[in-house]
Parts: sequence; structure tokens; C-alpha cells
Amino acid sequence: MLVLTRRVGETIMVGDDIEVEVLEVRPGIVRLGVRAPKSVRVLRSELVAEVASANAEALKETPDLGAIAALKPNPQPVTRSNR
Amino acid sequence: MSDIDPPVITTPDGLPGFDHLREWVLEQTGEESVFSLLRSLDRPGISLLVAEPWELAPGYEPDLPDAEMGALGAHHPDDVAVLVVVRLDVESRQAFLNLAAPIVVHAAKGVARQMILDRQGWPMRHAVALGA
Repeated sequence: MLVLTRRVGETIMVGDDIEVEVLEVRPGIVRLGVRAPKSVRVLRSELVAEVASANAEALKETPDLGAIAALKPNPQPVTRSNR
Repeated sequence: MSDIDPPVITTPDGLPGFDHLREWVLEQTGEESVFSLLRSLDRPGISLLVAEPWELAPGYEPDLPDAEMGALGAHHPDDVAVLVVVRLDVESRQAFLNLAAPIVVHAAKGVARQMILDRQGWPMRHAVALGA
């Protein structure tokens, strides 16, 4: 891991197109701003890991299409949850 | 030989956790089924079950991030179709829909991205019962 020390307001360049700025520092918490091209995902790591895990659960041996077509799902309404 | 070839969908950035899975065939499972199959061309024999979420999860209103839509080359919601990844649990007779990270397909271009919807409150495992 490359370790750099920055003060508030200073930035780091990752490659040619990604810039990370330290916006605010408080005890135990840092606020970071990221400038990156649209095609680059910038997300909390644990969120990406959760999606990767869900994908891993879902990727399966190709099932029998007829068996899938026979499934009769019952609609279940959804609402947003407050996190 | 079928006279209608199922469409090839490309995910240029792969999927989260699966960077190398970039080409898929989207197969319908049946005329009346909401389920489709994304069959991997990179890993033969492996597929992802997907579904259109609107009937299965009424109330789902994903806000597709501008940056992600831009990356897909989509300028308007009508340019895209939204599919959600499904995990089947046949024993408990349930299907779990990932509403937090839909696969958004630009149909005309045959390109898709799995868009992680951060802080929108949609569940990553929305349970739907499977009837008889």
C-alpha cells in the first residue's frame, strides 16, 4: 500500500484522471472528495463487496429454461428503507 | 437453427466482483415469464438469472445516477431497460431480487452496466414468494 500524508485541502492524483481531495478532518473521521471520469465507480468499499457477494451467490450453472419459466412469483411491494 | 438470434449484451466493465465477465447472451425463458437468463460467453455453463422488477416489486423507483447513465451512453430513461439479479432458493420457495444494484441495459447499443444505487434504501435481497 502506498501511504501519503496530506493536509486538509491537499489532493492526490490516482493515474491521470482521478483526483482525491481531503475536505475535512475530525477525530476518527475524514471527508474525502473524488473527481473521476463518469465511467469510474467511486463507492464505499463495503458496498462494492456486498454487491460482489450477492453476484457470487446468484451466478450459477445454467438452469433448465423450462423450469425457470414454470416459476410463479408473487409480487411483493417494496419501499425504501432509511439507513 | 433459430431464425431469431438472442441478443448479445456486453458489460464493458464486467460486474462488481467479476471484472472478467463481459459478454452475455440474454435469453427469454418463456413468453409469459418475467425471468430471463444472462448466459455468460466468457464462462460457458454459468448464467445469471435476471428479471424485470416492475411487476415483481411494485413501488420500485430506482434513481439511475447520471454518471452511470452517461457511462452507458444513455441520455434518457427510455433508452434503457432495467433488470435485477435474482437468486433462487427453491427449497424455501423464494426468489431474492437485488434492487440495490440493477443491471441497466442500453438495448439499442447492446451494452449494460450493473449500477450500484448508493443510499437509495433499496434492499439488496428483496424476497418474493414462488407460488405453485
